[in-house]
Amino acid sequence: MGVDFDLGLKAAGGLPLVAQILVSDVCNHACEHCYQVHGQKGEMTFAEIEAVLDELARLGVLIVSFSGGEATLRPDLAEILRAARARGFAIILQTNGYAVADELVEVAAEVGVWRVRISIYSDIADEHDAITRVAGSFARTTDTIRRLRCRGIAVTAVVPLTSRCSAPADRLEALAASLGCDLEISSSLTAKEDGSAASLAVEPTREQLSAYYRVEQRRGTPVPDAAAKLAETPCSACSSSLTVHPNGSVRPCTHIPLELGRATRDGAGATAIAALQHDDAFRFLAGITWRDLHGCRDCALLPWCSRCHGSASFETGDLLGPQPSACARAITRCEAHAGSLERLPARGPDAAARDPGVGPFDLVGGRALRPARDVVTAADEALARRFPWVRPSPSALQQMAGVVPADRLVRPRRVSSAGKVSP
Amino acid sequence: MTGGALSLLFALPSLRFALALDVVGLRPDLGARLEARWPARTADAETCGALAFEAVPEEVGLPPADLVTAEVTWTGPAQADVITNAAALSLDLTGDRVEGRGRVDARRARGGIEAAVRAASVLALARRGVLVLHASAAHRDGDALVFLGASTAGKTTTARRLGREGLHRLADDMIAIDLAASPPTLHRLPFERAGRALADLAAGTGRPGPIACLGGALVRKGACAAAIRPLDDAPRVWAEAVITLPPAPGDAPLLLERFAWLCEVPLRALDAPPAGPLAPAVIPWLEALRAGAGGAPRSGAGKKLDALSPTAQATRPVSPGGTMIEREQTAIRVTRAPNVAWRVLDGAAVLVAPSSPTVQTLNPVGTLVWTLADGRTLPEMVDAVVNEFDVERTQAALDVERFVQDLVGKGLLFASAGPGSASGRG
Repeated sequence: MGVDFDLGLKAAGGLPLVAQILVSDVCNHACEHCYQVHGQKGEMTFAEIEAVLDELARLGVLIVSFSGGEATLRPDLAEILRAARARGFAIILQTNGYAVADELVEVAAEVGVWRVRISIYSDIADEHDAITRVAGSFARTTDTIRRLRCRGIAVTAVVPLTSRCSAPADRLEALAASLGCDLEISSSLTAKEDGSAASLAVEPTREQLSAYYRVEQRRGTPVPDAAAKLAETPCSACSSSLTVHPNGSVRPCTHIPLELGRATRDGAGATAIAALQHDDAFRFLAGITWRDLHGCRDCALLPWCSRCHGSASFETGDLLGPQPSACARAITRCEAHAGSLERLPARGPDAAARDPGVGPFDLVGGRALRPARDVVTAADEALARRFPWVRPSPSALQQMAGVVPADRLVRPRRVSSAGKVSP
Repeated sequence: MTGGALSLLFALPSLRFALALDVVGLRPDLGARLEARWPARTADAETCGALAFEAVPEEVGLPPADLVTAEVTWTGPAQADVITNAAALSLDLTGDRVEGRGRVDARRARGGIEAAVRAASVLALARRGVLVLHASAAHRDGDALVFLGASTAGKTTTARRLGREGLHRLADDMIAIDLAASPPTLHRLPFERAGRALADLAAGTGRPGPIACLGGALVRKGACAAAIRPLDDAPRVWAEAVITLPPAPGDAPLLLERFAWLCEVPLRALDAPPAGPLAPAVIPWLEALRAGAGGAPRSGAGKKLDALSPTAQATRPVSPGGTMIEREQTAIRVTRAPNVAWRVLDGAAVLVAPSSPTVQTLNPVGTLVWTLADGRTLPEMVDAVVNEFDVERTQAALDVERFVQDLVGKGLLFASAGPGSASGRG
């Protein structure tokens, strides 16, 4: 969520302090790197969203983050923001900033939106527009940031690094400074929720990542100690946030394809959320530490790593194992901080089957990287039996994600007798 | 240097008001500090009078206090004895002249001389129909706004922020306003608190022409967004901003007339969030005022009297002893700032304010005070803390006041004087 606070803080109902509510299932951008598949899930009604807000407030959730799809495409977004304010939430609004009307800016100011998070992909309009595939989007998005800032609303420009972006960190910082907003650069993209890797096609190049991590290193960003990190939670899903999807599906986050409950079912949404605190899967996810991740816990690059459980399950079919794209980033980051590493071949019986780019790794003499054995214990197997969804089959993933893969989407068009084309 | 004799000049060139300032008996280091404040007087400097001080190694004037005070006793139609912190001055304001002789406590000479000069000039300017406001100010192309508010309301911060956003900062804390002009003109005072460098002073306002005061704004901290809003009770706000000393026996009608004119200067509230630009809210208003400036002639006498409504008169700082600034004696009521989201989790209040990117957690005492901050007074809160926790009342009062001040400073709580309403929020 990009919001720093004590992860130990829990809402009164044992829930995280932050809830993300995806209010829209459609988007006015067609971003190359987007992990979402739009238009297939459906959306909650305003009354259903109100019921969710009521319940979150009752359970003591403090911060609600509205997102989508594109949240501003909901005609009743202003009402939703007011409803959240009336229930005393701190409000985060995530948007692409493309279609934020002045009226909405006024409402955001009126309800005291805490932070507006807006994605930007470059400081060059053409590069930004190439990602969004909407001409003119950079101009409109930056204009929205200016208008929000003029009304005193705090804005964070969120930049997911992509290969389309020619701007190094300092140029992005200059852009944020010129817009008067904060900047958050994200170095990782995630797999698409239909199971395809299409969104990873624009992953930042190794050179881009390396340059970004070198800036981080020059600024003295502390790298955590491996022993301390083992006890930390790798991601905020369930531990510090939960997510209500556009259709009312209550999930750990935007990525992990696991439905914990249904906020809209038979008007019992409230119960679904309140029941989470007793839900086995929820409690398990909230308590995952790096120590629970086989491979990762034995990896010498652990201090340099950040990961996404959901993306791991898409990439390898194992939510609790190494995430290859994260392994690649960790190597680049380690080398940016500590200098280049020699690559040594894997050893042992399964050496031939090992992907040399996927962890765990040993650091040999501090200067060479050798794939190490991924030790899967009986306890890991027991966990996988208890929570089968941590090792989903590709088809199960797609089914759980609730979407049809884009390449299998057939949109038959019929020509009516009047010659009118209808979907 | 015989006993540290100083010849300084106290000048408001734009008002053609300049006083010679002569001090004898100063320690050299104190003299240097005064010289850093005010320029040395050249032989050809034109003045409308002189203030002469003798620094003496004994207690003079009012005792040290955290409030700036001045006591004025009129001994004749234009003669007064002025006693301030660390200084005492006999003043003669006959005609357009200002003549004064006095003594200053050598150990506190800088503050003493400043307080005496300030009092003398407030009185002398008042006889010219010029009022001194407790306000900061900023201008753009000669059109200015003044920013009002009690101490710590954010006047200085507002002027500085606007100074960084394309306006020119005129004053941080005090400014003279000449109401004979229409629109009134603003004049920088050489005793600005901000510790101005001489070069800055020499540059005056940074522009040759007069600075017109087109409007005023009461600064309100803690808003989530910058905005100019209507303001009720403008005469009261103006009255609280005017630095008043008991006028000379014949001067009251003139001052009342000028105050009525002051009340005709458009006054609004400025919501000032702790972060983000203010100019986008302020400049459109300034432009609107500029578009309307000079259009409306000053209204007739009847209107002037209206401005001095009973409310304004009743709430205007009463200065029986000539106190320049008085501490609010009315009860302070404390309310939570709107737009701060909060919950009490495990007995601790957790706060999210639009102004801060972090979530803040209060300790148990803070949590109690926070939950009670629905318009209750400080003593009521102290009572609750004493009942709830094992703490002595004196200590509790100190803690609560410090805590409330801290959160008011951060814009999380509002403190307001007067009856208020105990309507709860949240």
